[in-house]
Amino acid sequence: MTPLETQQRGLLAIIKNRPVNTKADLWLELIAGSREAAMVSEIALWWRRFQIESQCRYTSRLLKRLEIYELEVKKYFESNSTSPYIEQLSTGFLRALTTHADPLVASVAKFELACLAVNESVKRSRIVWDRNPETTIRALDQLTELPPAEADHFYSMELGMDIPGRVACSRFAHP
Amino acid sequence: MVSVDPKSKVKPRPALATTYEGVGLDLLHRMSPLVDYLEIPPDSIARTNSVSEDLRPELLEAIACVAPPLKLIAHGVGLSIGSFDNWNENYLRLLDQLFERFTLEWHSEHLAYTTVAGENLGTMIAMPRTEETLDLICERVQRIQTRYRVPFLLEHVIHLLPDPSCVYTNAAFLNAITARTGCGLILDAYNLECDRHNQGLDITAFLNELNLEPVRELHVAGGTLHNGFQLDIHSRPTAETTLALALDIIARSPSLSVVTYEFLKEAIPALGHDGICNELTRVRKAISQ
Repeated sequence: MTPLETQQRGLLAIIKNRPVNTKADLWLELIAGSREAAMVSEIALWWRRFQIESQCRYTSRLLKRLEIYELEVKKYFESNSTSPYIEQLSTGFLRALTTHADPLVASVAKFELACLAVNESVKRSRIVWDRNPETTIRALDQLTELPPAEADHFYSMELGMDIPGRVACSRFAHP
Repeated sequence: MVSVDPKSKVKPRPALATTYEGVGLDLLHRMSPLVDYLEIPPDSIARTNSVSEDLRPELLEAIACVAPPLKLIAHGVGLSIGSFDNWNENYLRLLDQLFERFTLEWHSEHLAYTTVAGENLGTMIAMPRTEETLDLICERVQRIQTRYRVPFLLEHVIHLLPDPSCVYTNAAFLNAITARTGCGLILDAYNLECDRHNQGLDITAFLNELNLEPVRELHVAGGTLHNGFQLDIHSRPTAETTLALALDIIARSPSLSVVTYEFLKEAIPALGHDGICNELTRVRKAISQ
């Protein structure tokens, strides 16, 4: 490995908060844990938050309400090879959240992902919600209180370019 | 700073350029009468999907409405000319598209890397100034010069991190690149101020050592102070100190023909359309003296 490769791979690891062998290079040893390296990481994360917020309006608003937005962006940034292109970054972030432990976060991320894809894909997307999706999205849009989850019912939403209005939703009782 | 007697050599006043990142058609039409050039970052006017990146046709149309009379220059962000393994070929495809559509006066990139082993860093990092880096950069500059038959310029970026052990000074490294490749340079007055604040750069010594003949373009911008660091987040009007430094660089650089006021599209709401237009008028007045 050349000195340049060692330094660049090491810096990538430092910025992404991954294990790095600082003994491999004096410069890496100098910057690891430094306030300068922390600033570089902070700038990288700041840009990612800004980009995701501009593309993923509802998901970022929900995550902010839950006070986990910064944490989720950090987790995604550090554990993935993130794209410099805003569209790819946003879809990658949303895709990662579709398996989130909080079902509402997963539903909103799936919804936003489906909205981004609805004009490009002939495939339908189906999203299950534990509460009324319409009032949920309106609440995120207008920064009002979120509706509660409904213990006895769920909502099945479908998005697709062949659906009138591109979206359909039905409420069902849990079996 | 060394000043030059303006009567000693009659030099045309530099033209004025500004950034257009594809946001605000109304802003574009307000800025157009105030500038001579538009600086287009191909990365910023692109749209990506799962298979490709393409320049957005509606933005190309918008640019075509003002150019001519405006001249165009491309200023890349995503080439990552200094990555140890390879540059970003996707960026060059975007640049190809821009060249196919428009006549560009020149194009430029940052002397930096944004990608490591195919993974985006999320920010731009300055190069170590070593023989290894010099060889790598010069070989790539020459490939770019072969591919695009208009001048190619490199811009120095700010150093937030302390330098690795370097063979060259900042100026000597740029001198070596321009001597070996014949490429041009962009100087950024605000970046130099950031380096002075963050790393103690002696700007006077830097300018005294730098061969200013290849400098074709000068950037001015305003940024922010955060946690003790002066950051190159171009989100403010140009400070008086930056303008003063810019005027000094203009006086000393015989081939400098364009001054570009840069701002980020994310800063438009804070700067305001009026603020941006006022800033362009202010910079124009300053460089016309």
